[in-house]
Amino acid sequence: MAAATLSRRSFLRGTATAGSLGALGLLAACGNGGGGTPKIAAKATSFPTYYPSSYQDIVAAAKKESGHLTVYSNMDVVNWKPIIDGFKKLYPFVESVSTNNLDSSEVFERYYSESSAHKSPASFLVSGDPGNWVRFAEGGHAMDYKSPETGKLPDFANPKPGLYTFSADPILMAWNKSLLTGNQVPTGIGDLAKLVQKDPGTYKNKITTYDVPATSFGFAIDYTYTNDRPDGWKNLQVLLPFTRPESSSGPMVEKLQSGEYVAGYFLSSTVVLPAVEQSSAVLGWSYIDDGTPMFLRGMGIPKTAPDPATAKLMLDYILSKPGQQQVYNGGFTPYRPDVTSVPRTYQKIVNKVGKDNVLIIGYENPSKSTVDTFNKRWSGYQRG
Amino acid sequence: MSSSTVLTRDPGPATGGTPKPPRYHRVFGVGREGLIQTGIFVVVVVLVLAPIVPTIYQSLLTRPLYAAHKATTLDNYVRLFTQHNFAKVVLHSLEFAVLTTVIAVVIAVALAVLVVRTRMPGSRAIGALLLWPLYISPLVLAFGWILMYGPAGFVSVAVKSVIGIVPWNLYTIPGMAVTEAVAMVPIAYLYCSGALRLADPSLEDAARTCGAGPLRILRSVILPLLRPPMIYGALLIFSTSLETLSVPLLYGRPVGIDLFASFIYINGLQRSRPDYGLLASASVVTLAFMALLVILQASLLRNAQRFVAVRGKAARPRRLDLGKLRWVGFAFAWLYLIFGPLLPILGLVMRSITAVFTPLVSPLRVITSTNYATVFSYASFRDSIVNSVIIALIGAVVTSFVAAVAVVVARRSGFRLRRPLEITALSPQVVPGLILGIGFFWAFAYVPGIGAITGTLVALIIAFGVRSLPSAFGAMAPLVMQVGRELDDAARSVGADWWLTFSRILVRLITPAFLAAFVLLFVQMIKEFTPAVFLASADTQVIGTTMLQLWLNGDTGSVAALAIVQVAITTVFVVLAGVVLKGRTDA
Repeated sequence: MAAATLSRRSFLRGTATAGSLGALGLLAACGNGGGGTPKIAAKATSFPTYYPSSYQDIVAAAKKESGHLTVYSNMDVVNWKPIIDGFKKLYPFVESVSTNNLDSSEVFERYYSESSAHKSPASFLVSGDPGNWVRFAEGGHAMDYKSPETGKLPDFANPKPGLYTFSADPILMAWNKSLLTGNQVPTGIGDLAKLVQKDPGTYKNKITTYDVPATSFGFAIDYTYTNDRPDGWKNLQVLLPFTRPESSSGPMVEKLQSGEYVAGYFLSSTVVLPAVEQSSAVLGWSYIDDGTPMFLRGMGIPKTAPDPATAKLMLDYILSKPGQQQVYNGGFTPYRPDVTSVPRTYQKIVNKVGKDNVLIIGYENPSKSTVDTFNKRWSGYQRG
Repeated sequence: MSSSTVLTRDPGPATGGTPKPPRYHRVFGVGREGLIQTGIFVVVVVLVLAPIVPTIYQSLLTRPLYAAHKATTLDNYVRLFTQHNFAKVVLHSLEFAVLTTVIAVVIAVALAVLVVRTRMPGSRAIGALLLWPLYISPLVLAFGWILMYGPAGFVSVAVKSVIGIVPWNLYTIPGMAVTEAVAMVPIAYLYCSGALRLADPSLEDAARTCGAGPLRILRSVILPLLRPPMIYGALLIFSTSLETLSVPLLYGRPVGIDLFASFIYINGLQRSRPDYGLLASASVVTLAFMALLVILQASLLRNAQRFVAVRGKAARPRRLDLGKLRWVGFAFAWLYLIFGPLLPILGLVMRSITAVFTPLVSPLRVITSTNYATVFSYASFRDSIVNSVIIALIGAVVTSFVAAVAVVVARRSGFRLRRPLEITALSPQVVPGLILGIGFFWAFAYVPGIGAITGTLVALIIAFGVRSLPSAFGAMAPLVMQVGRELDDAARSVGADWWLTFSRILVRLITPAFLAAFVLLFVQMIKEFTPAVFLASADTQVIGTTMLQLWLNGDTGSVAALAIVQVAITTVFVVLAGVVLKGRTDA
């Protein structure tokens, strides 16, 4: 596989994982020697034995569709590229996949406002916003499609009809290696709270996390953490007056690298880990020893999808073994149990930090008053 | 430009052999004059109101526009001020805007006088460098400032190593204002330097004959003459900084300072349940503040020359000789240039070629071309560059044309609604970019039949065009006002109607202004992004929205690389335009 066909990140990671793709059943027909056009006849696409024979009908229906798939997601094109490349190799009749990179909740809001007035162009949604997913699925907006891959996946892969899990991304600690050494490096939330109390000068205004009242992503993390850990609020009460919250991971990582922040807690692995690859000398990271949240990124097909069959193919591809491997190459963490060839999977993290120390951020939809009360408490602590 | 050159160049019916009055078709008893004038009025009013009406409507609704079972209410406004501390947002925004305006205008006036009116070494280079921030998106300029002056910035760290502390804090309202002021100085500078070049030298000669020295002339003649451009520049800066998004988003959010735009952005985009009622009522309050400003501006400038023409003059004013003081001016100008725009831009260049850019690691050890490779290896990033150029080119031409017709109707016709037309054309100046984007989004969604336009380049061209209409209008109005009416009268007296007069005579005369407006709009549109935050789709991203997304996703090096690409495109365009324009105006 030529470097040019790989994403920057998977290129940086080396070709180890890419090489393993050739062995996979789904891609067996894909003898792409590099550079040239893939020599695949779509007809020859063979599906795993557990796929129903009627699956070819979906492929046939997709061929009759527009050949374009519009996706609303909260992910960058850089993250999408390996997945789309793999998908298009399998289904070359799909000419283009446009992925809108929106905010987590904007994925839904844009869909609602468009579909109320006319038809939304979106055929596939991916976002890290549990509350909105529950409202989407329970509000009857999701197409109740049963993926043939469901049987190969853990329970949280398909928590509600029409709602599927894209990836299970760990939420991390990160710090600046030049500024924190030895015992100063936090191993978890409780540990950081102790460090902060012991040495306030080093940490005051120099630790960061998600701005919980402002971001649904951050809310979901802190909500799960405080519900699962009895000392959660106590730790946050210590940490928040020292914290400068950011509304996305990007600025957190940039400022950790520059030394403006010395440490960050509850950072998204999808941004931290690629940054570590680029600047491993500066940025350090670890799982959280007193509870590593795992963010379940959701996906689904809206009932109004203009290209529903193509969207089904995409959904099944992402859940498939090669698809989950490309999910890894896109910077996410695959959760399919039989994906073992990549260095970071849900199962490997569970093995590493222990089952009790994994906090799954499930698909919960707390009421508006619960959210408001939670945010008020959080902001109150943050102002000190 | 005298009338004779025009008329000999273009011997149209107005001057041709035997004058034969042309005959004009009339539709419903209205001549084409009336049709064109009414047409442009309707176009401008519809385009300007399209985003505002849905915003006002939403602010009075209990539920999102798209939802069923909604009722009208004033509750959104009540909640805005009781629960969400919006009064504090208003106060912070005003404090920020006032500080920005004062700093920017003081610096700009001082620099304009120094560069244009005094003998100072290197004034030409200073004048050119001063305009650089104009080419750069405020998002990246703010980012460059963090690289240099943030708590861990290069300059901060260097200062701390010498005196032990960092004597400033960028993440405060004054810190935000200084950054924004550097972005705004070029605007005030352009207005003031233009006025200074046009200033009548005989006034200064009069002062000189009374024995006034250079400083006295400066104080008593030159500065008073600068009042109109100062007022106009100050109000423009004030309204721009009231609606700015980048600086409050980057500096203010982490320390809990919200301004108008960041409040709207957070409540409109990022929350799990966006509160549209709150969002819209905040927008309406912002709009009301801005409208007050425009009324203020209109009354302040009623009798002054509203717009300053940036043109040469035959009699060139003598430059003042400040003696030894000129070295003070020289030092001031260069200190500002180096520490204001240049160091942060250098920081951006460095960030674009390094993997990490921090005082903790030698930049030479982490030099990389990855950032540029990322920008150019992804189709959608390349497309965003192409989209920006397309939008800026088409948008600038179309908007300049609409503005040209609007200016001529407003200033050179007997059209009954010419004053309302002018006010409407200038009013988008008070509509913050985010609100414009949200409003157009709602307008496209709810006006039957045009839903398909959402997310296309056409939608962006319309939104960017409406946003730049006031600039285009402002750039052309003064020149139209300078063309003597006797030319119109000459044409009319030989039977030309209003449109023929316009298309045969005025068009030729205002072509230089048209081209100047076109260049200005291109520069504005290629760095514009706030309306696109809501309006763009995956296939219609522009440079600015791509930069915002890369920034939020942590790909900061690529943000810097993209910024450098954008500055390069703008510079090439401005240089080319300069060459072309020079040819035009000399002809």
